[in-house]
Amino acid sequence: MSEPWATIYAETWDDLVRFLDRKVWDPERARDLAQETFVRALGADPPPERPRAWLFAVASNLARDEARSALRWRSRLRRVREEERERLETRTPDLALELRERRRAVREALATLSERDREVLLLWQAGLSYGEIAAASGLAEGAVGTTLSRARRRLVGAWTQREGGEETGAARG
Amino acid sequence: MPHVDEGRLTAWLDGALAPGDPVGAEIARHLETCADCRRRLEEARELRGQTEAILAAAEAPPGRAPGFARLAARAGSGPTPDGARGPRRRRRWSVPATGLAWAASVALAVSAGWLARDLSLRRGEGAAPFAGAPAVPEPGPPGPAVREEGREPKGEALEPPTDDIAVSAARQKERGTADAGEAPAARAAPEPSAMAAVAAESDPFHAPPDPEAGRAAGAPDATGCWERESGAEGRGLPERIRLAPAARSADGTQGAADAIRGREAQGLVSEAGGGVVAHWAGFGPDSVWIGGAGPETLRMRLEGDRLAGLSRARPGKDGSPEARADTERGAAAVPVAWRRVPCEP
Repeated sequence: MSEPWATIYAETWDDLVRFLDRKVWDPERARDLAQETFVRALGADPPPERPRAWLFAVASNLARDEARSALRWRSRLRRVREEERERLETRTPDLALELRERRRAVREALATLSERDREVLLLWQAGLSYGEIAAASGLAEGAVGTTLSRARRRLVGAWTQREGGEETGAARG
Repeated sequence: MPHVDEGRLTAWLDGALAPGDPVGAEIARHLETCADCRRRLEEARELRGQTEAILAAAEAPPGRAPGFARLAARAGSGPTPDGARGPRRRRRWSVPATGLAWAASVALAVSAGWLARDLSLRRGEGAAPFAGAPAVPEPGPPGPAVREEGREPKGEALEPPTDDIAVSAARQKERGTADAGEAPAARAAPEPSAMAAVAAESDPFHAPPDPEAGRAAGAPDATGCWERESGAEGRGLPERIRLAPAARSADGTQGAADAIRGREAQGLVSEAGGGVVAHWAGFGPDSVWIGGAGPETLRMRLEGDRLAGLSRARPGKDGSPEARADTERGAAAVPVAWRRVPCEP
């Protein structure tokens, strides 16, 4: 028996949102895209054989389109709402500020990775198996380990370098 | 054996090698004797832990997952008050970008406690292979599920749904990350209880199992055959549809999946004899969702022997923005309706 969509939905939602958030860097937008992804999944024809790999591949594309699109709908209102929400969730403005700061730092560190490395890393982080990562990214399964290894090394390198000095521009490693 | 290369070492560390994989055994043997590789393994493990900690630092709370039904709602309609028709603009309800998807598409699902097991067009020879099939509860999932299992020897993507809620944390372990304990504390642990609550909340996928008993008291019964009203707009929609109740399993989730898969497996054929289409289930206390292959969706209301259009969502050129705006305004009237007709034998 394979997983029903409802189950996949329940167990993948968090990971998918986080995955998307690390691409669009807007939690609310990430949730929207996650929903969109599931809506498409439910309408997929034929149904995907590897549902989770499929979900993340579609999410990835949506995030990419989003970045490309001239129709970015991050309105000011939206941004304000987002900040408001963040503030509420983290209770104190200080923490929200800190979270934003940390997010910025992570984003910069991730930006030093090649797109493929970053993708594979985020897919792993989202809980996908090597097989699923391969299916979602188009990489050969045998190459996932090497890619992941390189991505991790690079991310940690960029992060460490950033932490070490004020200069973050030199984080490319 | 030569030293283990980085990729394999990482795969081994990540538990990506199948239990019986000889490579895995070989690596294990090598590690016993090679301090160098053990050191590299430790380094890789540390890198992995650091990576996860770094990424966790960026984590914004994922927020509550909308109920499955709400997911349909998001795609299908906004907070249009029941009965309130939107402006009577006769707009085309298929935009060019998704018109084709619509043309080939329809899926229905119905309210409160029961599901459309099967929705088929009755028109066109061979077009509706399932039209006459009785909608009986079936123990196992139909086609796609089986196919999927067959193709996935490692079984990663198809762990049996032991529970209707699984959590990513659990998955993280199942995946083979053998060594727990190095998971960064910073990683926000998913909250199964919260998610279960969300999933259960007004979510018909978690409604009582029995198709009959599960139907909410007073909920309309939209099973049967429907014919589109003449004059009604709705280019591309099938003229006749059939809606049947769903099978449900004890936990209420598998049945839902079966219903969806069933429709997926069956597919629908457009009037023109065109392509197979999309299908997903939507629910509401008194509404029927029709979801196309694209993100567009219709919400229909059951009015006696009529299924009348309530609202719809139209996607933007590249995705959801406009759909959402549209939805939020509740601006879209849907001048489409089906009328109940006797099912042909």
